[in-house]
Amino acid sequence: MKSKRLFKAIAFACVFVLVFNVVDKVMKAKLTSDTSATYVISGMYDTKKNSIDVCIVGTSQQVYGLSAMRMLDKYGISAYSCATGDQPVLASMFLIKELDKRHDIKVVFFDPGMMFSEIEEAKYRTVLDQSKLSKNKMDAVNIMRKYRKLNRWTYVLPIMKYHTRWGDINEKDFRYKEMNDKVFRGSIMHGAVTRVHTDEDFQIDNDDPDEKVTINKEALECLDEMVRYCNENNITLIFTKSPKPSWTKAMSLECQRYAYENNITFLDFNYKKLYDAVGFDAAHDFMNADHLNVRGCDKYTDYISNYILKNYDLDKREVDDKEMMDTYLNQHVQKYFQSSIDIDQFTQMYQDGDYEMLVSSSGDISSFLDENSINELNSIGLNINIDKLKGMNYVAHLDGNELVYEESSDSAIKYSDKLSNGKSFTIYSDIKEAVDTDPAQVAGETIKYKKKGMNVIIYDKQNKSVIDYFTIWYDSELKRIDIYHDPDLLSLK
Amino acid sequence: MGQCRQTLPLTWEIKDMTFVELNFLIFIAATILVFYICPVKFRWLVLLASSIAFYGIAGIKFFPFIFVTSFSVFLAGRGMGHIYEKTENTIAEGEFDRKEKKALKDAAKKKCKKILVLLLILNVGILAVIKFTKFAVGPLNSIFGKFGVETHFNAAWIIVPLGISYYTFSSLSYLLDVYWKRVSYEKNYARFLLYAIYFPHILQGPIERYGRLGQRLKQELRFDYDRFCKGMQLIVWGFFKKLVIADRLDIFISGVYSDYKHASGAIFLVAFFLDIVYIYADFSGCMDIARGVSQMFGVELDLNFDHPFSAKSVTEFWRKWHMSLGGWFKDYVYYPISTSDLVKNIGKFCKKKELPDFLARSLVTVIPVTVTWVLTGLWHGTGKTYLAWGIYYAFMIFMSVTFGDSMKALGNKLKIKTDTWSFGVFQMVRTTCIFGIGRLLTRPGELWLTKYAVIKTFTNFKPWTLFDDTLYQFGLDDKGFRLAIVAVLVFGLISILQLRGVSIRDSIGRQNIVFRWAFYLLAIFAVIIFGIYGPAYDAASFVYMAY
Repeated sequence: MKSKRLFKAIAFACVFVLVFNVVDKVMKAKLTSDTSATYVISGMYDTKKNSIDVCIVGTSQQVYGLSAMRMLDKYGISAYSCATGDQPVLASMFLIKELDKRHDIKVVFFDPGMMFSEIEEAKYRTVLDQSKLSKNKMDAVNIMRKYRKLNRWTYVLPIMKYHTRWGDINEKDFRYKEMNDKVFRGSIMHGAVTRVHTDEDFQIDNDDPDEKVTINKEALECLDEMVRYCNENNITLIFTKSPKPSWTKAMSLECQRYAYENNITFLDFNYKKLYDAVGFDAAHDFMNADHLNVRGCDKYTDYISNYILKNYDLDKREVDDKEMMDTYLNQHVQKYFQSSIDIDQFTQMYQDGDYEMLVSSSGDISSFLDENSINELNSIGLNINIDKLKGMNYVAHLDGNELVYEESSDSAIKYSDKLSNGKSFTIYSDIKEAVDTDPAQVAGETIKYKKKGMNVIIYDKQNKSVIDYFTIWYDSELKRIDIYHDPDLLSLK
Repeated sequence: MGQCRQTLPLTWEIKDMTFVELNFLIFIAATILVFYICPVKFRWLVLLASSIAFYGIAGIKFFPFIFVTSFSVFLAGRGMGHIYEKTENTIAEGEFDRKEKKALKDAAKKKCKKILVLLLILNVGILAVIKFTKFAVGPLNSIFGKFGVETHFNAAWIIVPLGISYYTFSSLSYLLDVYWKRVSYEKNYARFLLYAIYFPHILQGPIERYGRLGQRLKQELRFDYDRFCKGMQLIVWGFFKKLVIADRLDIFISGVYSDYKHASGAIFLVAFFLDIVYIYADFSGCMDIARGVSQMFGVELDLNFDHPFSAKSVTEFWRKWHMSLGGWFKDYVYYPISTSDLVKNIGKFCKKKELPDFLARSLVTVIPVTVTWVLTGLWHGTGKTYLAWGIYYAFMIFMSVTFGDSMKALGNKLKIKTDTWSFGVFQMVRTTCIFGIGRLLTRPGELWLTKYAVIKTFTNFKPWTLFDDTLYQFGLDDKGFRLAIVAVLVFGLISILQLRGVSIRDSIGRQNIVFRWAFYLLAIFAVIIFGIYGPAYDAASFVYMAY
């Protein structure tokens, strides 16, 4: 009787623990926007053991700036990016240890951007709450407790914090892993282009280092621990800083001092020499003031990958998840399209793939298209005669380089037909209605134009989906013919 | 966070160990483990050590208070016990007539009375200084100021020991019971100390009597599987009432009284009724946790609530609500005053003057009722609001005693059927509202706010504010509000079933294992998910502004 009751009690306790784990996972916040810490951290735990050689940690600049997938695809380097937005140094230290537990890490690329900042607790929780309970985690929490008051039990049992989300539970809380369509080995690509800075804005060579900066105490303790851990485990630690206007010379010098004292290589791409060596272009390579877009990311990744190949003898790795790689490559193309701001950039992309193109004007294209632009457009199969298009509505359909249909008229045009795979579409051209023109319908997708100009829809025949849509227009602020992408298309929600 | 407001008037010093802290649960688990590993005869020592440890965690600076009270009361009890024993022995050994025996007993009682009075002054004095200094410094400074003397009395130096009201009252009840020879004195200080500071009841009560708890703690505390499980179930139920219902309703009620300018009369009325539910859920929830914990050790604590809202009169209500406090004041304040010479003389006077019955009754009861209820009010808290509360109940009880029979007679004359269920419901609702009005005196925190709420309820009702989302502007969103209402309905349903004699725990216990476990897991996770505890999740603080 006694043993039966004891058995029941133990069995109930086991069931309770099982249910608790499930509930804990469901209740935890799913940080799947911006740098998507949930996908980054859960992906880290899902990696096959002993399959990663390079660890990338640090701030969002690493998230968007270094592509672990490109490293693997082009160079056979197996890397994982554990970077997250505003990642505290403590979290970077913790993630290096966690990743190294599962793999035998050889090289760590660490962005020291948060060494000088006081960071709110939420940024630590972004990483720690998404991570499994472990000695490393409790060690990290104990360091945090030295510098601030916090409830350590909420780190052991995150449900103590996240149970208040009960009213916001939705599908994502149960199926978030399946819904990941943008984080690949911890890296995220972005297709936006921002042209707020010049190349010189990023370069700190001539800056006056008159401000005094000090590494904050907690960051220093964690850096020392990071250095100690890497030395003990034969891991090469490298500091890298991608271009960022708010990164100052004083910060760079302080970082250099620490790196020098601890025999760490520091690659600061905010100096002209390294900036030019990578080939950064402020007009094309940045999605906003601080972060690289897919074009800048590829350049930066290529540089770092070549640096690794030159200096370290790592095993050449094969692609282990073909499905993920295929998805990444398709998205890579899409992001390249999205980051095209010049006509020749997109026509080059168009030529390199298997696409159909739908064109319709929501503005008088003869008023801004110049000879070069027309030549570029005609090089892919269009047949634009600018003199005949003055004040005229215009539609066209290209299948690869074959002009399937073209029409110009002084009255509004509604053109409906089928794509090569049989899916129907309807596009409109009405330069009088301009942005109030009816939205296009392509293979079930509705596309609304927001600018007056030449609207282009690119349909990917292989993947059977609209890969990009944009408007070629004249940007009066930039004073140039530009490609405008809908910000909603570029958002990472 | 997590404190039973009404019954912890002095706990602004307490930091670490309330029932709803994870530390408390870990402490309980550790204590239970050590308790049952220990041999049976030493288990009471484990309870004593853990009670002292519990106090130590709250603050070692509190130790002098508990030791002064417990040791002085223990010595006094022993002293009185010896005096009585010696007198009994003298009477037994000698040959005395009735008169001589009475003289000896009176002399013994006189000696014991001196000890009793001394100890009462000491311990009630400590309690009074701690409780009332904060209340008195302001008025004292202004009184002196009126005479041109500038004083800066303050209460910052006051330390408020954990559970001082509870252990003081428990100790004093022991002292009085020894004096009145209701119990034999305790010879072992450690045993007495355990009775005085037994940790499950030190935060919230009930106020135990030595004749009950003291004796239960002396029994062999053996493991009983069913009792252990029932204790755990009671704890879960207590946490449900406290964390899911009470603390959630508290957000709304506090929101209404702090943002009173935006609250319509209808909103105040909702807050009025929900406050009644809040205080019951809060207090009884904490009580269930205390009783459940104690049950797991094999020690039953007295029931403190007996479905008070089924009471049909105010007097009946107070026999069902905070029963240990009501019983304490009845036994140690009301009866002694009502059997005192002063009140007896008043009774004799009324008889002599042949005053009408109701007048005689009222004159005889006014002093004991007033003193009892004013002291009860001050026990709950210091300040004008609690004084007003005490006076309010003194008045209500006084009216009930004085005019109770007259009202019954009036009812009979008007042919009102008082044995119908509808009349019973009317009585319960009336009693509940009377209780609610008492709460209204203290809950808002200031009497002027009470007045404001009452006036607004009658002059600015605006019933539409109950339907246009205004309800959700006071701290609880619509989901939180709906959850609270559902939880209250569950609470109500279970209370009704219990009133009808259904034991939910026994009923669930008879079901198949799959259903039982599903039910228990549902209850536990209802508390974990819906309870108000821990730091709230704020989505905004996690947003990384990448752009």
